Amino acid sequence: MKIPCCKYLLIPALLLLTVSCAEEDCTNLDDPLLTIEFKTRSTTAAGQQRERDTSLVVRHVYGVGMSPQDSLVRPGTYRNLILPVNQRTDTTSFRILYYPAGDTSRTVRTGTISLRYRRQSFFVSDVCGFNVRFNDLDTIRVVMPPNQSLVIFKNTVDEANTPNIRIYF
Amino acid sequence: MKPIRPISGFIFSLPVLLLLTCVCGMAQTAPADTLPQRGIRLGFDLSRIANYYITGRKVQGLEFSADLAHPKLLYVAEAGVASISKNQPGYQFATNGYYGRLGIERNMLKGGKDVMFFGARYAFGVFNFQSDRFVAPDRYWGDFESSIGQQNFTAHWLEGVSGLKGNVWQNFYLGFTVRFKYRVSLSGDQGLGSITIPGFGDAARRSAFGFNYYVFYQIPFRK
Repeated sequence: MKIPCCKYLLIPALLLLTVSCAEEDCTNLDDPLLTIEFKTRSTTAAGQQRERDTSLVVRHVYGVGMSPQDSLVRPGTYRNLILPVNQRTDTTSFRILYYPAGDTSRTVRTGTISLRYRRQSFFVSDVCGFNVRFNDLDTIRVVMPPNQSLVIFKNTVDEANTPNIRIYF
Repeated sequence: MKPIRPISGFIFSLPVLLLLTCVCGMAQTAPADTLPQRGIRLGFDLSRIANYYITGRKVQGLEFSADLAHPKLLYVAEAGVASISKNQPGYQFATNGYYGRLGIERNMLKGGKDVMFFGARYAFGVFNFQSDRFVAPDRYWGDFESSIGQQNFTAHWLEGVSGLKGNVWQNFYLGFTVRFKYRVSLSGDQGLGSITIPGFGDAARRSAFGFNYYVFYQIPFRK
């Protein structure tokens, strides 16, 4: 009677130890990145405000203080931009060279967004080490052409990578 | 892509399945519905040692268990210590702490020395975490190097447990416990992420599964 019991006690232990050997994989782990969405506002015939996604033709984006020649994105049409926040300082500024999609004049405009935040280091895992997320995101300076506005939509830049800022055109 | 995790459903269901199979193979030798009082049973968790040597995760830990049969219920106390440290080129950290559990088990078998149980635990853990150096990589702005001073934490959680304690020879037993753990509270910096709570697991999660494999010695009870 005892022998079957002992046998069954050993089997799950061995299997569980084997299963627990699975290692984590950090190669595609999400880094906290700032996400900027582009929107338009319009008023319907009934007088209701409506928001729609819009696109920008982005020629160049760089972090102020870094080489203006090195763009963070390839030239192209974007509905949103995903940008790295500087984890070495409490502020980051981006300069964006763009024109609205559909703008036949293709006149390149420049916008500058300066952000401040509170940095928080966090432990990802034994295998992946540490990373930094950014809390209490706020704007300290926004330079954009008239008729454009910016709203902080989510003030934490974390691994979820959901939209943080909306720019309305 | 999220980190690869062990298949928790498999972990949970397999021992339960085997446990039920095992119970079916056991003869119920006595009709008594109360537990015989055989004295205190002391246990040592072998899975902590196996975890250190077999898996890649170098968690140094010890865990002990004691239970005492009382009519219809087993009263259980468990205690452990754990130390996790890692020194990689990009980071270093250390976690040290201890934990304890108190609970009861209900033996589903009638008579005999073997125990198949379901039960519950209240558990707590006291631990600290610190990193003398870490580098958060950033290809654009440049890597960020920093450190985290010692942070102290206290955690409380509840467990539902199930398992077996099979008498293998005289007063020696082998047994396993499967645990479902639900964290009730965690004091300290909540934003530190996936640090390990000794006895519980990942602090970023509210629930976890656990598994222990014990060898027990029952101190003979004499009236």
